[in-house]
Amino acid sequence: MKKKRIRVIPSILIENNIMIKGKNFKNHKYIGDIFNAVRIYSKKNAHELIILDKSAKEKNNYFDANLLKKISSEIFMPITVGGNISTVKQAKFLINSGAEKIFLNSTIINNYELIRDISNEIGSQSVVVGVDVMNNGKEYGIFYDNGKKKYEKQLTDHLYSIVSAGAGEIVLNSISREGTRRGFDINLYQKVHNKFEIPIIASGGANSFDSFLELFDQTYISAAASSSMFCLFGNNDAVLINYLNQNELIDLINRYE
Amino acid sequence: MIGIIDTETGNINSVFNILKRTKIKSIITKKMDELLECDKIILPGVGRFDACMRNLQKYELDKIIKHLIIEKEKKILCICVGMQLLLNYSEEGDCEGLKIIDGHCTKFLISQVNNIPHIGWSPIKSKNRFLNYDGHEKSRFYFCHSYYPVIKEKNIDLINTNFNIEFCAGFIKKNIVGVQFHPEKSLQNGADFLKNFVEKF
Repeated sequence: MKKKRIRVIPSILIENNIMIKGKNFKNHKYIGDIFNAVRIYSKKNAHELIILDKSAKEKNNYFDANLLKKISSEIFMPITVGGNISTVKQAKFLINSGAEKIFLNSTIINNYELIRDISNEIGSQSVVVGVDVMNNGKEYGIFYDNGKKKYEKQLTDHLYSIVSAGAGEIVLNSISREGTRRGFDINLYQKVHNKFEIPIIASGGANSFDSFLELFDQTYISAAASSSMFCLFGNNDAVLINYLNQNELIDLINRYE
Repeated sequence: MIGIIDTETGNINSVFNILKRTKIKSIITKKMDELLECDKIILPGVGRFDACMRNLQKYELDKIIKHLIIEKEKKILCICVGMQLLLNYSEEGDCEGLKIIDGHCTKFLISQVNNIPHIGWSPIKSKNRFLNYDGHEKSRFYFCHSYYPVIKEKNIDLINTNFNIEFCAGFIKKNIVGVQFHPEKSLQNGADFLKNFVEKF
């Protein structure tokens, strides 16, 4: 297997600019102030951040560029933002407001052209597409609009369409594992890991350092995201903003280089 | 005072903000007279090679940059696509580059690397006396790109990194520093790099 450059990425879900966290896309609970969280992630040398606004669509808006400007004036690291981004202009404005990458999900359903239009302007490397999937026991179904609607298309076909439209990365998120801290869905990532050139970021289920080892050992995947593991602690899900410690991080990186 | 060239693309504000946090004064401008008064210049960039080059031409920034670098010998740091624009051309599009440094940009081959784009924190090596990096933890910077520079220019210090293959992550030539990575997105390592450029280069 080729060497990998590992990335471990805290993802942050927000609603009305407050950090929240759910389980299987439901029962979201209040986590706290987003600025407190991003400062801690930055201080702990997190590789990147993904910040998604769950409420953007309901408000008939897209990710709040002013919030992004405030965040990116405080922390100097790669930030990916998402939430109902529907036009090239919006994507460009977010990049100019301090995002390294923009994240698309529901707005590309039946509209892969949006990926092409945006990547033609800001470059493929800055376009991340999120795909949320749920396993019904037989196959992985694709869901959008915060997991509420099902998209009737085969997963690999959907991924091929995203890649050929010019996306730079895919976050493949398991709704069944999301928020459960049961470990990554290795089977899901083995199914797709060596089919595509672009990086696939695993998301959903991370529980511990060992979850990452399991994922990176058993698949070609080199990047993983988690929110639960980096904002909740213990059996009672106490709020604790956290990241891998420096030794764990260096150990993890060096194992695959 | 550091002049950040207002390319209207991408990471201008990130560069401004990290300099501010590092207690370095800077202005964002397109104006030749303002840039001439600055001690050093930064040319940021994110986006497609073509889109960035056309944008420079729209404001005649191509001429301004050439004047600053070649005639005025201003010390300049060119970041990511900002660095790529100094070369002859890129495989990412049809626009010619500024042709200040002899070389071009080529795309990674999937047979050589794990994924394209190369995204992540890669260690750099540079033996330059101002920007000396040894490939260890303090030398890790954030990269996010599919195209990388192939340099033909003579008498140039190359900055190298690896991602399954060894490749050029930048260069230092007389008054010019060009880097493929993003110091403005590289946490403390990036702040240290910029401070080094401003104070020592």
